[in-house]
Amino acid sequence: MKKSLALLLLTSLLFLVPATAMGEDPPRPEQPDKSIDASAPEKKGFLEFGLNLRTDLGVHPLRVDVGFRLPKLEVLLIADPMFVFDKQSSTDLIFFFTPKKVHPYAGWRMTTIGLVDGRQFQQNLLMGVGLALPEFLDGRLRGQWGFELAMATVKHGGGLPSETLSFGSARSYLDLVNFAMFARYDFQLGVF
Amino acid sequence: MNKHTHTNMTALAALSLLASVSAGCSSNVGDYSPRVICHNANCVEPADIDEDDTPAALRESLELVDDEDRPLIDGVEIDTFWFGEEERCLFAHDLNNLETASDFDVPVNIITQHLEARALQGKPITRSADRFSVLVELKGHVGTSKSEKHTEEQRLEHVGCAVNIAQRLAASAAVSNYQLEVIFTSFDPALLIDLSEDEGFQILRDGDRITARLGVLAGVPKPLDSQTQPIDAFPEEAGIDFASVHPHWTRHASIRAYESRGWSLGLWMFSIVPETLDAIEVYRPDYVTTSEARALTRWLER
Repeated sequence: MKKSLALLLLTSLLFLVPATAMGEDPPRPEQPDKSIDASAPEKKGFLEFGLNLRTDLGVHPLRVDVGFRLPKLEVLLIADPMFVFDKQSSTDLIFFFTPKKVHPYAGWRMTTIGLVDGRQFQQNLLMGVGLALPEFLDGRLRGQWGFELAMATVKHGGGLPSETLSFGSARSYLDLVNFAMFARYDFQLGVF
Repeated sequence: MNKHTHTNMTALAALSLLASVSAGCSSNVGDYSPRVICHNANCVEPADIDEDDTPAALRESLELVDDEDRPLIDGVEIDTFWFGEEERCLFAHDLNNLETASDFDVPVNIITQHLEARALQGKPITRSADRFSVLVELKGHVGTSKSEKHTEEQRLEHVGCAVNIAQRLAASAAVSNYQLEVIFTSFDPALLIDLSEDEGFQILRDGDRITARLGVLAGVPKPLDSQTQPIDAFPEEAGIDFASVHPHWTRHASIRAYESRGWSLGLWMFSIVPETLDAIEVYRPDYVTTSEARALTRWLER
């Protein structure tokens, strides 16, 4: 019974989220798109994949984006293939709100740190804003520059006691709240 | 440029990117093993800053051992605070818990009793089976506000307290025959300069009972915090040979500048996060001061 209810809720969500997000098309320049047949219906849903780059030490410098984009919402999963180098990984799930060129976002990052006999998990709340970068290949390659606030809210696992973020003193949160910037370029594949 | 050349250049660029990314992330610590120092005499997880510089946390931290009864730490940092109003030398980070703050002799007794007991039983006193390090930090203010700086007389009193701590530790090490290092640290250049001119410190430094050193602390920079001073505020003649810096807040160039003076490097942190671990891999400091000894040692030994 519980499984059926969960499945129903999940299915509803899968339909409701895109339906809510597919309101109006974002404003576009009036120049005709030369590469796409004008008679073909404009795509509203895109799969996207690409690279997520950064220079700070909070996550690896190169990660991989996989996601989908609707006119007003973009959902992105960022995977970390560089975990092979140091047994650390950071996986993000991010929701961008994209009605215009400025894209506020919120998300979650799970960082894992390899220990001698296990793995510690650090759960981070992400908030930030992205700005659209120039597009290439007739809009099939889209870029974004972003500014991020990451807060390590909970540490757990690895056989160590759990620890939650506290704002009682600067010493409690100074290392756990960090700012960063990133750039990403993703290929867009229209699906509907 | 023909198509073939273009393809080759693209492949070369891709390989260069891959190589640089790989080099930037070569993180195998291998045989590297820094000395693990217990931050604010409190490195038992979960980190709780309310327990910083308290006798209970110091005892628990000293008793951290692995399955083979080997200590998880190589030393402790204890904060000394000169409380100007009462002319007392406290074992405290600040005056936020004044009613429960101990006098400076309390941590000395705890440390010496612990080390003497282990030395007597023939047990290792450190994680690295080397000398035990005590970092004696001299806090640079004498009241609740960081702007309440020492008078000249208060500086000398504070220096005298710190040297007294080292003398008592040295006496214990001599009697019980264990290796000891005392590093006096401070954000405040005036305190380190006065220490370098103190006769008691000079006797310790020049003697062979213990290793006595001076070290600079650096953390959150101005204007966000008033404590960290520029590197040239610490004169060569003071004989400083150690800097412990916070990797999130200290610029790469500053860290290289400390190293260029021939000083050994330490990193200190409040919490272990990917940024601090990456900094350890990049700078390979001689000392890491942590509030999470078990997590850090398990990461180092992974």
